Amino acid sequence: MQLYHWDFGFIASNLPYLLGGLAGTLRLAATTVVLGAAIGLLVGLCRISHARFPRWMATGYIGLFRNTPALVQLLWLYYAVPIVTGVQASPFTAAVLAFSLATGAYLAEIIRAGVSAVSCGQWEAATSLGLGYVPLMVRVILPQALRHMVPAFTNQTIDVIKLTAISSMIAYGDLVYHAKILAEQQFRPIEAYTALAVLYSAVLIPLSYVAQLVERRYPVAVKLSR
Amino acid sequence: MTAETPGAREIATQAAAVALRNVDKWYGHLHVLRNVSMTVARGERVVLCGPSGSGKSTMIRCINRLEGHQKGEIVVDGIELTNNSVALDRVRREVGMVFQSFNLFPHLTVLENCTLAPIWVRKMQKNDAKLLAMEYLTRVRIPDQALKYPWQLSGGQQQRVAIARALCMTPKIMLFDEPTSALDPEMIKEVLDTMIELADSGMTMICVTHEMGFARKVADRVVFMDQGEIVESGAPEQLFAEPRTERLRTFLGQILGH
Repeated sequence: MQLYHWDFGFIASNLPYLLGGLAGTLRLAATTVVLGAAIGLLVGLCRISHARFPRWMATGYIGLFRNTPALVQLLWLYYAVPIVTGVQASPFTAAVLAFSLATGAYLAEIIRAGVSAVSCGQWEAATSLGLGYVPLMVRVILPQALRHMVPAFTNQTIDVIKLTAISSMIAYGDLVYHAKILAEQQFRPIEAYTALAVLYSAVLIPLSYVAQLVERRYPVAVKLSR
Repeated sequence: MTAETPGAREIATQAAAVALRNVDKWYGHLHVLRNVSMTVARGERVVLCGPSGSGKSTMIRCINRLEGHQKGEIVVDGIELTNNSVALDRVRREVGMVFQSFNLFPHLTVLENCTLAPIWVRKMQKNDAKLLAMEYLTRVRIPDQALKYPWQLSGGQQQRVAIARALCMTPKIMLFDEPTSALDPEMIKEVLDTMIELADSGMTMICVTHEMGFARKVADRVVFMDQGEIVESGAPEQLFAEPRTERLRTFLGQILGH
């Protein structure tokens, strides 16, 4: 076997270009998480509603986005949006749309699980006091449910950053896309993609640590009494 | 509420506080309430007792519609319980409930637990609600715990907070679902004393409990249920001293035996 001659030199000189890609990744991820959280809250509340119509709509929506591959969702929306609206969506727009809708579906399930984890005694006590649905959810159930959702939510955020990698397929300038361009220009795919993995790890490993700190700060197992 | 001397109470002649007429309830195929009829007058104190699965908890949970009934009528404070949510909200405002497992809101302080409903249901101003809450917390003898969180209190203290929280809505009827069953023995007395004081002030109370001493001291009427039916009903001295049915005799033998 011929020994491969590794040469990472070009990485250093092209670092600004790669970091530009990283900025693209983070911009896409942040937008996705924010929009996805909003969609997830709405869909999650519909999912646990007593009314049949919102519940069925939410269940259908969640089922659709959880049972199709993210890449398929991305490609379909990228080509469908111009047909529906008559306007060509930019790669960023299509990616944000696809990823927010998908993340919203996953977060809706996380919200449903978080709300279900709140003991039914809390619902009974709040109902007995005469609290209506809105103050009951906002003041009693959701504050407690949020604690249960923290680990799943931080996991989902990290997953979103990894998910954005497929946006390179529609030529969005994320980290993968920039690394791919660099690899093709320099004819050095293995160094380029190694650098890619290193850069992702450099972001995600500290982020996972931060997630752990957040989970520790808002633990689920709260003492019930002395 | 004015204090009344024990024994000098009068049962109001107005319409009943709670009336159940031929109520049946099923959980799937399980018949949990069988043709139950009972009337509780205003100011009356009723203790429900019976073995596990007798339907006593189910019955009081039907009174504030935590559970629904399939047949018969339940009328609370003159309002019939149906699926009408406006009527249900009005009923729940006038009926307070205390649970076996306290069900305090763990993310709120004791004071916030008590002011939540007055602010959001009775639309009270925050300061008025605080004053009201402190009044009731003083009445249950824990005003100094107002800023603590539920998990920082003992079980007996938590249950007294739960009682104060229910009272802050100034209900006309108080329901108690085995309020002392989850407490360590040394804390049972402080909760029962609070309930006795509440009874003395003229509150209409329906209490599911195994504490027969409390029943003897406070109840106008003891209702014994078994397998979903009301078997016997009468004044505590009479029921405990002269049970008329075998079922009640067996039950009393079991709980008074030790």
